[in-house]
Amino acid sequence: MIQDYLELLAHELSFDRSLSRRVRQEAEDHLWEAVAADPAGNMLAAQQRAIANFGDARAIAAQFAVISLARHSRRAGFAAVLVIAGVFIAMKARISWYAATQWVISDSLRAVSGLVVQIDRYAFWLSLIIGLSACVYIVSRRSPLRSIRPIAGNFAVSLCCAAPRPQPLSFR
Amino acid sequence: MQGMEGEMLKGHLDMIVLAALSAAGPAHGYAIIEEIKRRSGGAFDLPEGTIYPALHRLEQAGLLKSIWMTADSGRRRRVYTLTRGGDRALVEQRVVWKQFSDAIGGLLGGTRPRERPA
Repeated sequence: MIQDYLELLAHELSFDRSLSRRVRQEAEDHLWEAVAADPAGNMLAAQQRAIANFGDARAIAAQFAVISLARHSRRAGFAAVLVIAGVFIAMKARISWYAATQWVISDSLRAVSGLVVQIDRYAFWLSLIIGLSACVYIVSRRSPLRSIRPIAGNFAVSLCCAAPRPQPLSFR
Repeated sequence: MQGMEGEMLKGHLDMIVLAALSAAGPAHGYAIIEEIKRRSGGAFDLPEGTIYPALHRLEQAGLLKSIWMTADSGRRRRVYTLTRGGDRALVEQRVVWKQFSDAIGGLLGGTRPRERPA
């Protein structure tokens, strides 16, 4: 039963293979430890309880999907910045190479080359600004510790509306 | 109201996990859940699997670090530890929570919350 659940969880996380492997191992350890700690002697019932307490595999995978997407976005942003830096170095190297070889262009192409250089330059700086802005945006969207403040309103409302009740707070 | 309570807990899950790890020391997911249950007196009835996305998110943010270890059972398990950044984040969250709690206490109890320094 636990193996079936782990297969389902791994399948739901198949969008990220390394994440899927890691979460599967963590979940496996968790579930078997929960079974071992179950006071009832019935193995099957203990497994059912452990899985029920662990939660819906799809819901858990959905939470991981958000994290995985954010991580991949950040990686893509940093890769874009690296590519831009590489292009910049290549452009500078090309200019240095022309200077070193004393390469000259004909008079007929000189006017056109000036225009091309301008387009080249502004396109580069534009892409650099867009790339850095995207990177800053991605990094700024990280929310490692959800702040208390944004939900303070909800919390206040729930506190004010809630009558004393015996049942525990629940995610379910 | 049940959903509202769920959202309330979800919004504080990261802080709860950091606090549990701070109290328990290095621990794996199951031990963290047990620590949360023990210290909250069983008040938080959260699906246990929910802890893992939070752990991964906090690790990505640099607030936790983790290593694979082998348990006595022979199974591999991921053990999480608070980083210095995690310690600092928890201290900050405690301060914010205290201010928030004082404010709500003032509203519900009819007493004025402590004045915040300018």
